Amino acid sequence: MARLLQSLDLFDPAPAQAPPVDDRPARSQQQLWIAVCLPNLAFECLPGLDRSLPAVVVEPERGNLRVIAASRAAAEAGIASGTKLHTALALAASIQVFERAPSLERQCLESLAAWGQTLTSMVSVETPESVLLEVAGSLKLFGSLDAIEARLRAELARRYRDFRFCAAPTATAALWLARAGSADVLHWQHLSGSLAGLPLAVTRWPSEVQALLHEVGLRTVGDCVRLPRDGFARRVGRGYLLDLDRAFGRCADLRAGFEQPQVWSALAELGQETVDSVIFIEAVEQLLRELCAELAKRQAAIAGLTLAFEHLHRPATVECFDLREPTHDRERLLPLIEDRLERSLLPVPAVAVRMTSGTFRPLERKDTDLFERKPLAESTQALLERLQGRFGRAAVHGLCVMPEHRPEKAWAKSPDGDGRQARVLVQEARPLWLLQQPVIIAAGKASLKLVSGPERIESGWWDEQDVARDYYTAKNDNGQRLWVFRDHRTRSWFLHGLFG
Amino acid sequence: MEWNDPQARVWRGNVAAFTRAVVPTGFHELDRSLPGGGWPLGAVTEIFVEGYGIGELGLLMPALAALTKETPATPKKWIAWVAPPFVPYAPALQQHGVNIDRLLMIHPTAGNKSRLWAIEQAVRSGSSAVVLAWIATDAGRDVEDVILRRLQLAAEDQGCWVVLFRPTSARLARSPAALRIRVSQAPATTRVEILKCRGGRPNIVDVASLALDGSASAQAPNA
Repeated sequence: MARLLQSLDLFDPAPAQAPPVDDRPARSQQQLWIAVCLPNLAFECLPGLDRSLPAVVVEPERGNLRVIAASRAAAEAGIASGTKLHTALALAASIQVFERAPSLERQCLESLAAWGQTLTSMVSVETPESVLLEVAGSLKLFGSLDAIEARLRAELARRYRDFRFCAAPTATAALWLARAGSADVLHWQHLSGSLAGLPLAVTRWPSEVQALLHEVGLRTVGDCVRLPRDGFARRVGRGYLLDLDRAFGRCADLRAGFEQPQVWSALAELGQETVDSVIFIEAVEQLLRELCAELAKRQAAIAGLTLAFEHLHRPATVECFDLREPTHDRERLLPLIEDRLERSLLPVPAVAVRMTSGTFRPLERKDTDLFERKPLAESTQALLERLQGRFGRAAVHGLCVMPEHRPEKAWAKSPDGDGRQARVLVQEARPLWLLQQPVIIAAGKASLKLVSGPERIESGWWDEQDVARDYYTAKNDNGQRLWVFRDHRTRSWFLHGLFG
Repeated sequence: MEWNDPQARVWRGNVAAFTRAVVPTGFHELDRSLPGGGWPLGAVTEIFVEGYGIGELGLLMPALAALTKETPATPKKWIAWVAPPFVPYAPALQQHGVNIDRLLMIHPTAGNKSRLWAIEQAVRSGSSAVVLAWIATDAGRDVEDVILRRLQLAAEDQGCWVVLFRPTSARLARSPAALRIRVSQAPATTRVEILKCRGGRPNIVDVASLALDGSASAQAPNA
């Protein structure tokens, strides 16, 4: 009965209950996390800014606008993160003020995470400003942690002015250490010592929690860990105790892996309202270059893409491009788009072009001929794509022969003539040109000189399109050789073909 | 003979070795009149016709049959038909020995501009062996010399035989085509007037073996 009551607790989770202590860190899983921290991301993610001017990014906090990121010039004027906007304006009157843009920050982090996947398969985005990489599995590939960090440093320096990163055996620990800007911790035995000295601010716990801890005289992470677990869970909260356990490796620290979206989309601003196809093509070329670089990196191909021309005061004009087979070749995509852009006129000027790829598909490698520069099949595909892109899918087709007596049903359109066909040979002469529809000869037989025939074709009772005709080869006054028939029912004469 | 001997310097263009690739027309009379003994490949051929059904297509059939014959050595290439005026009838093509697997029908939107664009695409892609195209008379404006020149260059570049069917009125215009012929109907024969021929001379040939019912293939190819 007592057991039953205990298990009932599960349905009424008491926040005061501390989880049992597991002093033994889970060392079986030898992980090594690098946390990348971008303290000034909120400012650096803003596009098209003059970085040399003093500028700040603000966020409302308890009724006040507070600075959360500042440019270097602003920082030199004494504006730091957390400064009130009024104070900042007093320190530097000519600063530019921006609102925070969480979506742009998220994009920056995702782009960094996508790059991070070139270092390891396990990447996690930790909003608002961090990316976590688990690199234990990549150490052997790159040689050492230093080699990985050198690559990371080079890429970060290319992207951002302000960054920190730090390696540690647990993700939370790496994150906290990176925020504090401390050195790498590679061994478990050093972890507790390194974490203990960190200020509580690195935890990013809510400010009221931090204030509470501050009031009871706790300044560092180590101070918190020394407290009785039950008491800490009851007074502060069970979640914060879990955070500590995760940092110290006392319980599993699970992270959501970053997965790249399976489509690609990017926007090119044109800088002006325009209908000039030259400007469009320039923008599209740039977008395509990015897309194809992305495709090459991901070893993927796409089977279609859309271009959306964004206008100022009306919904975007969307152009779709379908490919006959997936490609990652810029040389094939560009002419297709150029053809369309050179012809189609936009109803109103556009200000931006957004390119959205179709779903990424894994690239299929094909064997190419040693002596042929481009395999013929591919150049054919490209030709068909261009023609169908301009004239429509039905405008290009092959021919095939059908086993049928009725002349109009003895042939059919085949998609690009790629299928092997049945050999059906008729003995009687057939004209090279067939009319789409038989045309009635108004003058009747008088205008014709019958040369040979008749050949009776009577067939098709089963599908209610039956014919009963006598076919003749005839000649008219112009010297044209015609294929004519007399319909049995109407007894009138029809022209059905020309011996070209 | 000395190099400055006048006799050595007589230009003998008409008997000069003809090195261009050709495909036999399948008609002896015509082969004899064409330099190299056949249709010039890798060039533009213009055929002027007044209406269809006078044997203009049958004239090409033996050559098309030869070009679509599948051999392991030659790469598979298309025979593109741009804007045919009627339906090219597959059973008849098969009777003429043409491998219809290699035919590609292209129906551009109306107007010569899109037709010429389609022709140029088909030629430039390098995947067509032959491009047959029908060009209508646009009211007033006909095909410009510049476009034909571009086609001629592209055809030379890709080794593609471009055959343009044009109305007879267009034969008076200037053209860079390698071969220009006019096809008309004479009593019992098909008359081929060679108007211009690179490396050859204008001539009139009556192609008699093109039988009335189009069964020329029975005797024509390399008879």
